[in-house]
Order: sequence, then structure tokens, then C-alpha cells
Amino acid sequence: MHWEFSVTGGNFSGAGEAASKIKNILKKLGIAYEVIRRVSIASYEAEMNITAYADEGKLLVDIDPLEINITASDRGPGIPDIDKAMQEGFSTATPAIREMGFGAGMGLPNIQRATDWMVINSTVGKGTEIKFKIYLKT
Amino acid sequence: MKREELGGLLSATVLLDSGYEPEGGYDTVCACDMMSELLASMNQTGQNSRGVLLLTNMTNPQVVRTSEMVDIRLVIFLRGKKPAPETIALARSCGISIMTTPHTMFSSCGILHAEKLQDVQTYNRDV
Repeated sequence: MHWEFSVTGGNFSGAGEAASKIKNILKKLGIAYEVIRRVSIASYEAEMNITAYADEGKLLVDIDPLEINITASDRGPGIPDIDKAMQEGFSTATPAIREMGFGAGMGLPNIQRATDWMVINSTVGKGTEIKFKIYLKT
Repeated sequence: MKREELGGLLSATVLLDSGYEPEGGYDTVCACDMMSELLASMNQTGQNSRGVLLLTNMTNPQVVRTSEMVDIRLVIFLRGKKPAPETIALARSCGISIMTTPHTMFSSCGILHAEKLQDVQTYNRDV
């Protein structure tokens, strides 16, 4: 099963709508509560990153009997130093992002912590792709 | 603890009543203003979120959206803050109750701690 959700950069009022839709899909599929929570946290953080930093992006969701795979890709400034971005507390957030309660430098570490596998590919000046996976078995 | 009892302890005003009451009542508090901190805390805790309430100074819609992500169904705004209409509207669509208390974060935590409500499992930075 495959779903695709568009995310508009800078649209803070709509931020989280894609993650909310993903969560509702998982609930309807009868996915385990703990898995839904982990997917929700990771997809929401990924969506917030696109909203906060990119021009536009999308979340691609693929579910098979064993795992949930999500790709968050965007057209945007990219991440110059991925290792630094993965350090908790490091943030390049603007005041507008911080006013929303984000920008604590925990987004990417939160995604990594909530998922079973994660990889980031980024090209400065072009965009970023974050792929992550959560196994359905407990 | 039932929502009505919580409201009484905190001298809180109900701004939106979703009608939801968790089985066994509310027994756990997440007190924070940073949404990523909330997500990290809820990711660490192994427990079901149904009995968790959020105390926060933030009143923007993302507070509600973040709560929805981790199944928090009761948000209490501090220092008498009232959220914007769009925050209430989103809470209504998510089935989340909203209250506001005149107490500060410190006082609210103290009041609820004295009533044996527990802290959401502390986020462990070493994990």
C-alpha cells in the first residue's frame, strides 16, 4: 500500500496535517498502538522540518506486512553538515519556528529514536531526503 | 483522577470539553513548552498515553497537533492563557479537551505532584 502527501514550506498553520492523516490511516488498518505512536512522532518531526526549512516537499508512505517505510523529501536549502544536524541541541531554527515550540535541535534525533532505521541524504542548495523504517512486529 | 477533580485542584476554567475521560482517570503529567521535548518524552515512555495530560505555556495550534500525535487528550494552559480560536477549533476536531489555570508551571506541577500524579517518564539524554 502506498500513500503520498504534499507539504508546503512555511505553511505553519497546516503543519502536521500529513502526519495526522498517516496516523488515521494506521488506526484504520488496525496497526499496534506502539507502532502508530512511533510512526506519528517520526513523520510529524519530518513534516515539521519540511515546513520549517524547505520550499516544498512530500511524505511517501509504504506499508507492507513486515514494515512501514516513509520517505520525507524536499526541495530546499539542504543540510551542510548532517553529523552536526544529528547532534541533540544543534539548531538553525528561526524565531518563528521557536515560537511554535520547535527548534530545540531535537527533530532529527527524535526521528532516529522513534524508528528502527533511518538515513539522510542531502545536497546543499537542492534539498534533503530522509528515509526511515519501523517494523510492524514488536 | 477525573478531569473535573483536576480542574478544581488547579482552579481551572474549561474552554473545551471533548467529553473524553480516560479509563482509570488521569495519572500522569507532561509539563513542557518545547514540542520536540514532548515528543521525546512520549517516545521514551512505554505507557499508554490515555492517562497523560499536558501542562504548557504555549497556546498555538501546534500544541494541539503535537498532543494529537501522541494521544494526549487533555491540555491545560498556564497563567490564565487562552488560546486563539484556531487552536480551539483544531482541538475540537481532534477530540482534545482544553482548560486554563491561573497557576504557573511550578505551582501546577506542585499541586498535581502532591496529589500523587506522576511525571511522564523523564527523557533520558543518554539513550
